[in-house]
Amino acid sequence: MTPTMQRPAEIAHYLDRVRTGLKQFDDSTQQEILSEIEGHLSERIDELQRSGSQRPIDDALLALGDPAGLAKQFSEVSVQRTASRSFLPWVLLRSAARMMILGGRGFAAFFLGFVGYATAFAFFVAAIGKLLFPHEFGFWVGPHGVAWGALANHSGDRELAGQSFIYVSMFLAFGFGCGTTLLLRWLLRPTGLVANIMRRLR
Amino acid sequence: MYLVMENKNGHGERWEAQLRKGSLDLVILAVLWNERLYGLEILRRLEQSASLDLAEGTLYPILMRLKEEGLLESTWVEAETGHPRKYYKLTRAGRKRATEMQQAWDEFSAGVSKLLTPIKEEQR
Repeated sequence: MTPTMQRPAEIAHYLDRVRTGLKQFDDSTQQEILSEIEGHLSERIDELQRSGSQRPIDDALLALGDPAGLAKQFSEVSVQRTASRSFLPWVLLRSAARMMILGGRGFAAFFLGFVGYATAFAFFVAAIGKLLFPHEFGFWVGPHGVAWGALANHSGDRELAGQSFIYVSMFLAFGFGCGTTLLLRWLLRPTGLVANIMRRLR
Repeated sequence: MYLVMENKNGHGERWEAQLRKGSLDLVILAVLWNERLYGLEILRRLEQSASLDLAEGTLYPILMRLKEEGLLESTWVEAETGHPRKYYKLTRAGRKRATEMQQAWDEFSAGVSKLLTPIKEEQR
């Protein structure tokens, strides 16, 4: 699997740049990716030489594209692999954070994920708060406006939810948590027209 | 995920690129239906059979993903060229997925063709 022939400097430099972008993979996966790319380059250079190219190495590297861009595409596969196998919020958020550098979908995933989980957490804290401080937490309506949670000053406000505040808060925390997880898994999934068509057909 | 898809006519129309991009998984699974192939061979088959000029660097991450999804398996084989080649072939799950995608594609393209009939008739 590891080539033994001497690499031209341009190829070695290209592979080094790809390797730089593959840090999240273990050594054997990195080596496998680089070996496949090197094999591709080797054959493309032979092809280009046979077809009379004056600069076969440059042409082969150009056709393969920017090394950082190539590494990014592999990274996205890794992120999607991780995300597609997990339901854990921190794994999904970390995957979304990694995907932020890959484009708008990653940015949207991270932003929505952060907001969704923060909201779920806030409802969870409110439910626990009501258990521990039943007179401080609630659904307050009055001169200070409408608030779900705790108010620094709730004199004159009425608490309308009572004990059901805990159940509703827990339900909303669960709903936001699950909804955000599903949304993140959907946003981080591999995309494709046919995959979309198939989803709609079912 | 995917890089540049060039179209033979050079129009570079966005929707056409999107259409081709979206069908990449299917066409890659399709070229591997009968035989195992390595990366450069897959690119050549796509060019020859489907006029798909796929940016070379785009193929390998897709192959990696399909392998991660359990649709492909790979084997390194020593080659006369001096560098070993990584051959890909469909797994059982890959054949199943390819069949499902082909059926979905047929239904989709038949539906679109029906909708396009008035446009075609007006062009006659």
